[in-house]
Amino acid sequence: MDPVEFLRNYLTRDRDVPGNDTEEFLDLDYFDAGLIDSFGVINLVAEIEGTFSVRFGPSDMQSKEFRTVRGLSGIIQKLRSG
Amino acid sequence: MRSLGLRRGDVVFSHSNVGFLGFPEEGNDPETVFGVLLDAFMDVVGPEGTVLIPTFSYSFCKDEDFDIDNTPSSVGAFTEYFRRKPGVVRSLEPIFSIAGTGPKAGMILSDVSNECFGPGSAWERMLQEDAAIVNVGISIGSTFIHYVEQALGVPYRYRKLFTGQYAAYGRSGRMGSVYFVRDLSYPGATPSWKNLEPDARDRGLATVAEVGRGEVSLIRCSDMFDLCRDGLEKNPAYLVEGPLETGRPNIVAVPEDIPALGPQSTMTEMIDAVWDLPRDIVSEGYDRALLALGGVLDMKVHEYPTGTECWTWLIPEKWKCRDAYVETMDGRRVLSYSDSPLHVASYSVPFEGELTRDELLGRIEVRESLPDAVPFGFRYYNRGWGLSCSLKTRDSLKDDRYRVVVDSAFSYGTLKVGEVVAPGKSQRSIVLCAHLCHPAMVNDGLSGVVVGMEVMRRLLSMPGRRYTYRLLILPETIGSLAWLSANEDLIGSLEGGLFLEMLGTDAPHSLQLSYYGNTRMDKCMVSALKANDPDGWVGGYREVICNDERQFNAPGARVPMLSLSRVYPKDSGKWPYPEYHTSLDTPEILSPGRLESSVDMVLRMIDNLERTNYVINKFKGEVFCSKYGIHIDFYKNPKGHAKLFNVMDRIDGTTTVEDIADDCGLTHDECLDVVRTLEARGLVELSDVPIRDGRERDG
Repeated sequence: MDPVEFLRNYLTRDRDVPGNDTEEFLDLDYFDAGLIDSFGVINLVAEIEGTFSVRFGPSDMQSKEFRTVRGLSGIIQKLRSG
Repeated sequence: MRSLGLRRGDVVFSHSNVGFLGFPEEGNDPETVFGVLLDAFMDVVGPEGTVLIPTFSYSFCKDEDFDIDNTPSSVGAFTEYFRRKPGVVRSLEPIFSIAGTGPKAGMILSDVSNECFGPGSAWERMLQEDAAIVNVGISIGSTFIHYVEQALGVPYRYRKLFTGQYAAYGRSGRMGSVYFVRDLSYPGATPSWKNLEPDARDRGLATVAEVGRGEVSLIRCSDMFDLCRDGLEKNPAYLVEGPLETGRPNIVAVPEDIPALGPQSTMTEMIDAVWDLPRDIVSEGYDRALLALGGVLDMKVHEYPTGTECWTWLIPEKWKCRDAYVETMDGRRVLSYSDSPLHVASYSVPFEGELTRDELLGRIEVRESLPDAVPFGFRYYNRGWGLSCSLKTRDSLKDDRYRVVVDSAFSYGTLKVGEVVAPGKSQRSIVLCAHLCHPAMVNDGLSGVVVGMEVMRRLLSMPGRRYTYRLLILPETIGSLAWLSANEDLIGSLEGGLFLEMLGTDAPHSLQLSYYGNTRMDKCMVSALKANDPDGWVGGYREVICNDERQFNAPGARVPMLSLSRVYPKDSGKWPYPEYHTSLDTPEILSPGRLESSVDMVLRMIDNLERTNYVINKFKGEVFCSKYGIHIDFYKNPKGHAKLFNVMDRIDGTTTVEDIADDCGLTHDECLDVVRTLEARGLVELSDVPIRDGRERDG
């Protein structure tokens, strides 16, 4: 599964997010936008790791990229490719 | 946490993103996860320690009320969990509240100042306690840095007042909160830890430990303060994304389309050039008007940046309304800012949305007594938005729904005060004052401005002035406070002043006395009014109309400033004048010749001031009138006899011509005639200062 589509579906699973099919959505900071909170990220991490067979390290989770769809999918791709 | 250096009895402040650590062994439900984190803090600091957690709500920034007990935290589920725990206290801080538990929580969080990041804030108290900033699952950075930025006065932030409604401890009301906000005209001023984080680690000021999926870090407030200070000294962009080279174009840009006025421009031409500009208190329209007037007379423009403290006030942001309208759902405009700036309350916040008819009507102001008038509204210190229209327009709104757009913007700017000076022999000054800030209105404000300008033009052509004259053109209230607070060293040399306002109507002159009511200024001006406008009337302080003279007369300044206007009396039903604060206040309501006669009145008042001196007796005992050829027979001319002796009785070096005239019930000129007669015979001298028994005295 494409990480971008996975993340798009995950973040819009329980709510309608206008513009989620646009380029701008890929660079939206989903924490600042309130789409996910600090507790919800645990579940997000668990689902991503389960779906893509990857494991995030501390530096991945602290990075700026972790906070956007585009950035996080890039981390996932990097981890998948080893 | 112990390995990081957190100790028993510590005050600890924590930003957390608990999810970034992963699930603890104890469980994966929120209560368990949050409980593990809180227990960790409590276990290390013990009952002697204090735990502080941010519960920022940003309420006033979002135009929402703040209820200390019920307004939720906006910064994460853990902070809400903590806030609701029994025994936790919270600061009464409507933007950046903090919750806490422990022996020092009350001391740190109660009675915080209304400066979010300034003296008296919880951040300052945390620094005084050298609290540990322990971040969980996030970087080392902290909101604490804004306290450091304000303490050091970084250029990319400024102080901004937010106001709103609060509820706390069984009370409610309005309060203000001053937030050191980011200047949006600096694109690179978004906070960043890219310099702070590696420095803190490299210098060993931050200790870090891996926990689960993430990290926990600790840095002491004092170390954070020193790190930020040292970093900012070397790199002004140390705490932001950068770059900061693009500065604040707002305060250096000269607006375009400045109306052309020149040294020969008449009062009517000045009014025609600027009256319909959107002259809000800090705005491009105001700047254009002031710069245009600067073409008439040599004028110094004082600039006071947004956030500058003016005694207890703050200079507000600059406001601009690019467009605003109300339209029906099928696109028909029913009112528009482009038709009149008065359609939008000055300093309205931006808004875009659909409203029901009732919701819209709740936002619209009308003037019932003037069905065609659009009233003037403003929200300088009460965030929100509002509209105005004529009663007729409002009553024509029949649709169920409307679309509303208020495309306004706030930015860093400078409030401007124009000053024209006519130097005199004395450094003591008389201040003329008028306000320029009422958009698209004439009699209120602008009439006083042009009268002041014309008075100054004539004064500048009069040689040998005794006093120095200053005309201040400024935004109402805040402009006077800005100038006074920046010129405290001048206040002692201000002899007095006259506020000029609403001078274009048919009403006779109305003169409002100064706070003291019996100063030399008061007496000279009352005397001139009585001699030159028989229908003119005098009212006590704050009894005629209130304007900037309040600031000059207020405690801490106490400059005796009167106010000259042409308002109708309060019991006339027309006070101050019918078109006041509406779109009907246009050049058409100005009566021909009124402005010119007001110029004449002011000049006569000034003439009295210039001619008023202390009268120094060069005689002792009663004068032997026959010897000096000034004897008046009591039986043949009792009035003349009484006038001469009443005046002579009051001459002792401590009274002025005006004092004596006022006391004797004479006009200034009648009294001066007697004094000149005595002066010609060497019996009196005139002086700028009181002198008794050959020595200068306090007047």
